[in-house]
Amino acid sequence: MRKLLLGSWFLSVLFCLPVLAQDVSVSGRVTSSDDGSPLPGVSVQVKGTTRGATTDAQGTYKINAPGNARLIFSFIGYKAQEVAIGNQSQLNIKLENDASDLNEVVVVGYGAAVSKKEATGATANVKGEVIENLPLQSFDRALQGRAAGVQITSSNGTPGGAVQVRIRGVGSISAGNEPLYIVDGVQLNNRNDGGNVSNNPLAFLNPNDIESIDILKDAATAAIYGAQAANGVVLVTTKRGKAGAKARVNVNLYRGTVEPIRQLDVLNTQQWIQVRQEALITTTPTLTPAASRTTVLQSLNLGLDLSDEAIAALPSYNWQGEAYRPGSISNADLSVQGGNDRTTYYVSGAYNKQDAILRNVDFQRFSGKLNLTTKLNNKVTLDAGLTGSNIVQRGPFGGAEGSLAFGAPQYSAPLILPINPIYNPDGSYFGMPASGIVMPGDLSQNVIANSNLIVSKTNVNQLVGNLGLTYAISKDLVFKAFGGLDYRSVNSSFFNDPRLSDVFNVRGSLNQFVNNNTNLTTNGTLNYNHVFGGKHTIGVLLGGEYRQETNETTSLSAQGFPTPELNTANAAAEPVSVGGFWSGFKRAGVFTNVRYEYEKRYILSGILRYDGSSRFGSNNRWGYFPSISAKWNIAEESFLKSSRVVSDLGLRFSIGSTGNDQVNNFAARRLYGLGGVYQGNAGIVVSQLGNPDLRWERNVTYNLGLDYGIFGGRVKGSIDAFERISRDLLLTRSIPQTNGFNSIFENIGEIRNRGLEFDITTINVNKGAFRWETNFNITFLDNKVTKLFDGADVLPGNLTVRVGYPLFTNVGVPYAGVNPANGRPMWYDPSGNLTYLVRTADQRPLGHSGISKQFGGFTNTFTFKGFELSGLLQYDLGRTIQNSQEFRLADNAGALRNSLTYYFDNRWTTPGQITSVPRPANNRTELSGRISSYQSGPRFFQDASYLRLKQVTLSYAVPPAVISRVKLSSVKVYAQAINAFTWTKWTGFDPEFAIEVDASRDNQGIIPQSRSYTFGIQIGL
Amino acid sequence: MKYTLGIFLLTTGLFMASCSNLLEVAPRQSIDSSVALSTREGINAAVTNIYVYQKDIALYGRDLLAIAEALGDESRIINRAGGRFINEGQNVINNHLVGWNIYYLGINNINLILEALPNSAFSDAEKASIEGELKFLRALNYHNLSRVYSYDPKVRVAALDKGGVPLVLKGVSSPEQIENPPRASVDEVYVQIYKDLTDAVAKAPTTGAPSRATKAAAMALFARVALYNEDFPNAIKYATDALAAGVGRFVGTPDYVAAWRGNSHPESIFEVLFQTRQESLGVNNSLQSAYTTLESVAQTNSLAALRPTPLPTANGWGAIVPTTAFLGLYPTGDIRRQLYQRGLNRSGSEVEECTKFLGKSGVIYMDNVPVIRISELILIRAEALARSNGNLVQALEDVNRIRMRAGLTALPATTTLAQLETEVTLQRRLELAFEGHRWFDLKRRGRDVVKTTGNVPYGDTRTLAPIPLREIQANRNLVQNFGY
Repeated sequence: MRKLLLGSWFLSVLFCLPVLAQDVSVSGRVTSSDDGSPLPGVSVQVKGTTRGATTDAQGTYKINAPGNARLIFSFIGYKAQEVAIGNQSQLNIKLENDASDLNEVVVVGYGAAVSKKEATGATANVKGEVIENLPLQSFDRALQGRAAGVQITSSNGTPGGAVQVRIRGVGSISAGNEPLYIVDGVQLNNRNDGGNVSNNPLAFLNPNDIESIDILKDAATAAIYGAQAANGVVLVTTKRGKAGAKARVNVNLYRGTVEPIRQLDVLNTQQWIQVRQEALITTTPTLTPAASRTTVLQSLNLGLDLSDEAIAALPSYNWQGEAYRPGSISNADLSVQGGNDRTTYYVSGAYNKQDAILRNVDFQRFSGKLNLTTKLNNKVTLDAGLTGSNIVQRGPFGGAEGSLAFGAPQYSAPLILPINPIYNPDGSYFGMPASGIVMPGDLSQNVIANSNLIVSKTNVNQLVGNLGLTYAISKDLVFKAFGGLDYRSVNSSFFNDPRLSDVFNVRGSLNQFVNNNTNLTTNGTLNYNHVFGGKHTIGVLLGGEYRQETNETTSLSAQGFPTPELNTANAAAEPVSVGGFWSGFKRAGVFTNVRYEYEKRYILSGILRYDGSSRFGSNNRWGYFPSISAKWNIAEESFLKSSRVVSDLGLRFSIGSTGNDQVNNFAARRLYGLGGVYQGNAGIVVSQLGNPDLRWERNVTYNLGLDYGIFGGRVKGSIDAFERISRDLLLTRSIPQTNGFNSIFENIGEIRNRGLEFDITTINVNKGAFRWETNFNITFLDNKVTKLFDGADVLPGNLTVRVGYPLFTNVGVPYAGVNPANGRPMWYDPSGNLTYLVRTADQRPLGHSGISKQFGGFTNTFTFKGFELSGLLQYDLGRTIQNSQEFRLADNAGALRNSLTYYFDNRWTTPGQITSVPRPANNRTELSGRISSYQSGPRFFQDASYLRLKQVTLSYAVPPAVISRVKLSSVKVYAQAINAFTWTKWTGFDPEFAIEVDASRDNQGIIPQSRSYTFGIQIGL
Repeated sequence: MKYTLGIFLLTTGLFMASCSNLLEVAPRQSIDSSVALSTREGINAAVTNIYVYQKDIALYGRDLLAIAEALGDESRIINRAGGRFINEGQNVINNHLVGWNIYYLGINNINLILEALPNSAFSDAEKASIEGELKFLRALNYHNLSRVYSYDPKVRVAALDKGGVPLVLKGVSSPEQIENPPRASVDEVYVQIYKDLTDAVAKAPTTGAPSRATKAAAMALFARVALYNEDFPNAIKYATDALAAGVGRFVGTPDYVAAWRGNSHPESIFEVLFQTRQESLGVNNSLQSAYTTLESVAQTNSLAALRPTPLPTANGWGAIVPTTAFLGLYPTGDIRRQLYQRGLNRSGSEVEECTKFLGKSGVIYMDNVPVIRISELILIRAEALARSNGNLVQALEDVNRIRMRAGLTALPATTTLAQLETEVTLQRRLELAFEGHRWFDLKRRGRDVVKTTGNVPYGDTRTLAPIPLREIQANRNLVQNFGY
């Protein structure tokens, strides 16, 4: 027994001897390569054993290990590092941030991510840092010009205002064209629920909280979102915490100014009086110049005996200058992040304020964000995120999305007769109703008083939260349960001051509404990944999802306020009306994605989703959305693997189908709805024909793509060719109104979008401290309506939609300029003859359209030591749009409104004169019976193409040596200009504004784009 | 792991199985069509809404009166409403009376109720009464459609006549019922209007006037329709019957102006009612604003005392105002001339305006609109008698009733037929001005519109309104009016 014991002890000593003999004690400090801060909780493991240690709060560790062993340092958010001890006793390790790895990762939905090399679909990625600190309230606006295939158009220049995002063209006529937005897994409601101001549902998120934005453009990846993915999917990932010894604090401060880009040149009082006289004489040739002069003076409330000298001395007032004013921008945000290997957090709070360039229109946001990830145990991870924001927007009278209201300064300012002063000598407003003085002219409201006295406020409270539980069932199999909430409450009130002319006689009015939207998403996924035999990788994703949304509105309007200061509803003497609204939808689906990879060389991926929506007819509630995609990584082939020139070469192909269900929640139903009121009773009326067969609008997308990287990645990018066919369009098909309805929702018609996307990034110079990097992207787009219904070649009621033509095709009777003999405007009739008469039936395509043909961006970044200069040129080409604003501004005093000097200077005055501007005529028409008004659309079509220096930023990062003395980890100062220069032929305020296929939208009365300058500092503690 | 997979599949299965319910969301502010008209309340509410269409801006809310006046020869347009009515005032092509869709919306809802009525819970008497009411309204819609969009039966210009309007008599509430109806002939349209009015006269209720359709209203409309059809015996008969029905009161000289200052006109046999504050059409869309700058009855009454200054600020646009020539037609002492008053300064002009619509309801931009009133019936009978060479004593008596009430002398018994006819036309102009009659009167007599801004000869394209272009595109069986 003793022998045995002794023997075994001996044996074990023998066994351990080599170990004991060569074990060394190793200690050291683990820091982050980012900023050198110590990392606590880093796992230090002896390779091939279970022996390990973790770093303490100072990032130091101590471990005993054989001298020939290797140590593995691993930590969440950092690249694991393996180091041979090599008999050293001191090993200080710098762990590298994983972010560089993330760069190459493509998020493909439901939390899955694949490396860029393995991605089979067409995607675009924009990093958070690229859009950091831009004075823009929502991230969609910041994407402009930065992703191929993605066209971003601001609806108007309201800060925090609506933005139109079109991924690979416009595919729908009556259903929506907006992509699906998903922030940290939460599918957002991006419908604009109103308010008196242009508002953007994505503005709840501080763009500085964004880590990365991925855009799924083709069906290869988007099909996993099935019925909602037809217009593409935008996946936003917010910042997560990274573990570190101490919390990392980041402070961003910037301030700046915003100013109008352009003011329109309008007539002065003398020019107006002159041209008004001409207009009157044109229309009534018997009128003597003296009589005409008298009439004009009378219409301006001037003395009829005014001398020519007195007229010459009359003042002109600049209403535009008073309405459109520079404003200020300020932003402050603070984020703190940190954690250990079990729990990480990211917390931020931010304040953002920006004025519009229109008086008393602004945006103000307080927002907070918390992201928390914690490992409950080795198998279960909890991931929680919460974003809360409060937005207060003050809006203009008449709405910011376009208004023809005479009281709206954004519409009226250039049109008000220049003789009207804005203020009385005592500083009070001119032309107020109580004064008994009426402003001469059609536009008789003092719009500056409107701006200052009307209280129009939209208050949005939004909460977006996500909670995910990940359970690693085994190494290969992961189950994830996810729930998301997107809650938004919009409180809007519009108080029209009793002193103002619109409501003077009813003593003020108040309109208020509250809209609450609750949008819930929940899903469960099971993800399996396994490598067989080292070469075959199989991935299977299985999931189910349910989403529901309810939307409720309550509104009221009241009149009769005792004083302007009392403007709450209880102060009103007369309630006028109350309103209510309720709507909702439900959606459910199951989906799967199966991937197969062979040696990362050949990749095949298939997706199938089965989706149902409450919006559709009982016969067609459910639909399948499949996609197949493949990639051949040519660079991995033996003949290229050793190439020094080619570092990446991959060929992608995908085909698949996605759906669009962006129609009214109850579009499929046969309904009686609420009618009006008669004799104090409410009526009902047959309101919808219904269509039990109504189903998804289906997009079939083909994509052929090439990813390339040469010279060690100094030149890289991708080229994609796509065809997107939208069929079974959810179309409001016009029916004869003799049926008692305008239209019925049907699945008819087809639109084809074809395009080519190029994206190239090059490092032109990388010498010493100097680096010059360039990114260029361009998208060529060809849009065409290929089919309507019943052989119709024009959509009844909408002449811009015609088979064989792109959407937004401009139609009309072509303008032929002015008859040099008499100054009258002429048009071409269908047989090409000149005519004075425009017939509605003669309208025809004019050969241009309002859809962009090319768009993209060109970015250059120069870095030298701590300095960085970057500039983005953004362009949008090929849009021809009617400059509707000039509709009225071309009157040349044909009405009692002001006009542009261009039309004044170029008006026909003498026989033989060649010009496009007709002679002035009262009421824009002549008294010769069958003659058309001078105002016909085709006169005002203009090329709205533009090239814009969208952004230019100069920054300086203070060297670490300097700032470490003040105990800071980083300091960067910068100056930035947005919309610095614009090159365009457009003569209105600005060529960038949104138009819609199904609704008439133009540039009349919108707040135009602005130019801004900001200065900022970014401090890391 | 197997266990988890099992649970996952099970939950997914259950989830899918329950999906038919899972996706049920019922609307809350609409009712399914199949049940909407199955109750008394449903039918009553649907009938209510037929009247709502008559309040539309395109119909009696404004345009059927205001645009008709702008097109005609008694008004001129002052450009102080941002260009509103200018083109109509100058008869620029394509600027015309509108409302096609509203008329047919009303007609379809009438048809649907008429179809639901036989199986409803109402008693036979109630059913008959609702049917009569609806048939009056359908006739009113078709007659207005017809006089806006097509030639009147007896003055058609064969070369230009493209027919009447489509006759839709079956309700549409589901997709398979959609039709592409062609235009019926003008005569067919009138046959249908006669049929509906015959039923309405027989069945419509006798109470509810003037804001609801009654037997008297049906007879009155029949008289007007018959006059347009130059069917003088019926015009005479129904005018006489309607006058005898006891609805409406022929106002006397002392309260003639006062009748136009109250909420409801005492002469109204049928008028469109605007009752609650929310029904006010506002400065941009109301009849009041189209005609006058004045704010209210009170302001109108007190204005004379304030002149020359200080005057209040103008409220409405006051864009469509009487021409001096038209005002000149009123003989001295004609009490009706008092309904035209100097308005307020707007855009540098201060002119005489029609004050028949003044926010008489007590709410600005909200007035009841008389559709048919006693004076029109008297003049219909006079015209029918004169033109059919019938009882000229009665005709003269009718004309004199209107004249004498206005403070004018009676025409002598020696008045010739030609003089009588001229006088009827004149009295129609003076009595019914700005109530939307003159344009249609010229048209039904086949007369040219003579005005300083350019004449519209009878038969010119602009005599008829264009059918909306979308209708021509949506319905291949529909023919556009000549020249459009």
